[in-house]
Amino acid sequence: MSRLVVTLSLLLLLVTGCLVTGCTVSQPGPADWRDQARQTLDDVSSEVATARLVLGQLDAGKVPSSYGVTMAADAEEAASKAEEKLSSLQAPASLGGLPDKVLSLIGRATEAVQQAREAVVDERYDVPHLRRELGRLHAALDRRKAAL
Amino acid sequence: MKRYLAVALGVLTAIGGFVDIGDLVTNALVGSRFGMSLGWAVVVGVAGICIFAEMSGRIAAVSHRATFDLVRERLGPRVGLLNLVGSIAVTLLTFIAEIGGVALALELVTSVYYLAWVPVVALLVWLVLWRAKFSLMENVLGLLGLSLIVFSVAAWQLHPDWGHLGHQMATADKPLGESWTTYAYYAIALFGAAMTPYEVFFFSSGGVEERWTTKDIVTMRTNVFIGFPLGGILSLSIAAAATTVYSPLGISVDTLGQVGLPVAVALGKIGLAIVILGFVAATFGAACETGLSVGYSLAQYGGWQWGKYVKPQLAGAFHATIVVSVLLAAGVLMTMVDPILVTEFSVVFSAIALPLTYFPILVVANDPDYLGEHTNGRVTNVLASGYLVLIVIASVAALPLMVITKMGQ
Amino acid sequence: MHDFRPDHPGPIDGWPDAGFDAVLHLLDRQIVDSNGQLVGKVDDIELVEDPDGRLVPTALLVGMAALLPRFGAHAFRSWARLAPAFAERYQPGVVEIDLVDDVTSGVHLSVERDGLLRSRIDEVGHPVRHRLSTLLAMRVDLPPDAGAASHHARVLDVRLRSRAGASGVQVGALLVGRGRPGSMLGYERSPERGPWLIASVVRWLHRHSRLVEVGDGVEVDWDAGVVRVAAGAAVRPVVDRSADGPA
Repeated sequence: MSRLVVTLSLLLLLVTGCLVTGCTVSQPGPADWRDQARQTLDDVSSEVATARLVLGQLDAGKVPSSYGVTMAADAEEAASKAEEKLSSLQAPASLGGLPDKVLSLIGRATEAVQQAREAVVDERYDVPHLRRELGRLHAALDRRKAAL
Repeated sequence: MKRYLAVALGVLTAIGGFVDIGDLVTNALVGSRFGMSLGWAVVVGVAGICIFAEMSGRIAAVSHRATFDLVRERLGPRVGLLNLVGSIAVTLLTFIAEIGGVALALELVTSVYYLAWVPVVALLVWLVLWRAKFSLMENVLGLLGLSLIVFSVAAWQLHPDWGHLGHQMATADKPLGESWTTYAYYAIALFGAAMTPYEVFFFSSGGVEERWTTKDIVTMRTNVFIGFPLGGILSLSIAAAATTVYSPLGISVDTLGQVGLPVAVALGKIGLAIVILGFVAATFGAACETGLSVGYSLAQYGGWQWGKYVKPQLAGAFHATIVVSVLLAAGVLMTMVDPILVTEFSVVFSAIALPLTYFPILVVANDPDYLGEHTNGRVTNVLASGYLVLIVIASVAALPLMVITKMGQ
Repeated sequence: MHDFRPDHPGPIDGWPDAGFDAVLHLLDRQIVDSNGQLVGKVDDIELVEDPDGRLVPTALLVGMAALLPRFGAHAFRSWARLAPAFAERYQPGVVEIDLVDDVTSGVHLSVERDGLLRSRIDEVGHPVRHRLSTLLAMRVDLPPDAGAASHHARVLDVRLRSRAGASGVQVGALLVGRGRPGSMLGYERSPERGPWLIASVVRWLHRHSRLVEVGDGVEVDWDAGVVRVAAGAAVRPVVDRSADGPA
């Protein structure tokens, strides 16, 4: 039995060790920050596109409002979570003004997703202006990601 | 005539019961990010589950023993216990994911937050496991789960470039933006989603529940070799629909709503209604199966009376295990852990736990003491040995890949 | 409900007089009562020394008190300490071997499960009772010329053979080999069993395992926990090599 206990605890230690070393960024260097920024831009861009797609489908009458509300709320939550993850990461000084630019773009995108959610909840589906804005932001996020 | 009806019913429920929350999420996610370039992993996984489910079903039909009876007999109580702990942990994780999946599907219909649904769903699952007849549960949920076929219709209605998708699948054409480690990680996730160990626990225990004998082997084989591959085609349709709608937009799937949306794009509200019905049936059915599997595994290891073929009073410990699992699952979900994240963990940990289940089955399927003349043929043995090697490689590689790719980012 | 048995005869064709391997064919098997209800697992097997010194299996032992000692003495003690007031938990339930009707993929009893399991209450002058698991935990001292790995040798399985002049079986030979990893999974019984991959690995792992005939020169010392095998004892390879090659 004691052998069993030892084996089990060793295994557990190994797993936690792997997870801990794998999942933390202690002090991000410029490369770490860029990686995380790329990931966040990717995530937020995906949510922006989702919000736009949902608005379009609602407008076309292909999706019932309950489904649309859930999807828009999920997109908003995911976008703001991604934003928070990046903004809580200490940006290395060597990157200069880049982090601020990236974060402000992400901030605008998150806000647009939030507006989309508000529109969906209010059942205002015919919002061409907001859809165009989401489309522009989607493209901008992808460009920013490619440029990083 | 009656016999053909029974076979047809078995095949249909096998298709409807094949897809669960793991298949739904993983296939849609992979489709949105990798196109059909990982379709081969689904094909390999489905072929694998066919081979091993057939073996475990044959063992159940001939010897009337289910998987964990074999594990304890062949590996002894000590190694058997390690196996039990690993398998139950993975099955519980899947159980949590399935209950969360039902709750998420109900949120899509009602826009009532899924957490409010969790206790209701947990209670319903327990009631079904406590009261409903085994065959009724299987047939009703399996047939309702068939409504997921709407994914195939949607994939066809979206008019994708079939030549392109076929080419991606045939050449395993990884998209440029993704790394090989992520690609390998999702290959293992798809493999784990298709071959989830609980499917074998449930399949073999279900055979004992339904009192299979050697006469039922042909029916069982028909269900497995027709039903499971068609279920696999359903999985591929989910991926195809997702890739057609999402790849051009750069969306990667991370909610259940996104999994179903391509159907709405193709077929509108009616299609979407059918898909949600399919979500609820498939995840609810899988929740029942995983909940039972936890009880089956523990009871078979301990030798307690188990099964729904006896009155619940005669199998007290078995039903108590189910109550505890249901409470545990609901409790974990109430901590607001993301069910989709739990699903992603469950499919990868399934891949890790695969050898624990499949090794003893392969050994016993060759044992004439159990199977008499029904032992494995040469072809089955060659294929199964190949799969055993593959399973071990996937199992060993899963955790390092999970860490390196930060869960597939 | 009725006893639902496999149509297949199972490993011990001709119970109770046919020979079999105690670990492979009986230990950890499901016990089923005459109504088809499940009783428990064969957690251990009771062995009794008959007057001639032969070991005869007399009962199946069921329950935590039989299972936990197989995980080690520590596991059993911890479990006993949990609730000292319920002392009956220290004694395993006993199923006399006469009640076993047949052994297929399960152990089928001729009686119902209710009220079946009782602990053993022995009177003065009772026979010496041992447990199979104690024998399985023993070290085996092999003579250097046995051709086996003499270090770390343990009893892996116990081959039971029909008794001369009496019904039932007795311990006929010991399967001896390296303790870990575990048994031969039944591959020692038939050399042609597939799949090739597993069969080869198991045979390679157990290339030093031997079958020791119980008889002259083999002494089981229960107090010291050692099986001593003298130089003259009958020790032979486990797998019958003559059946391997083309005839």
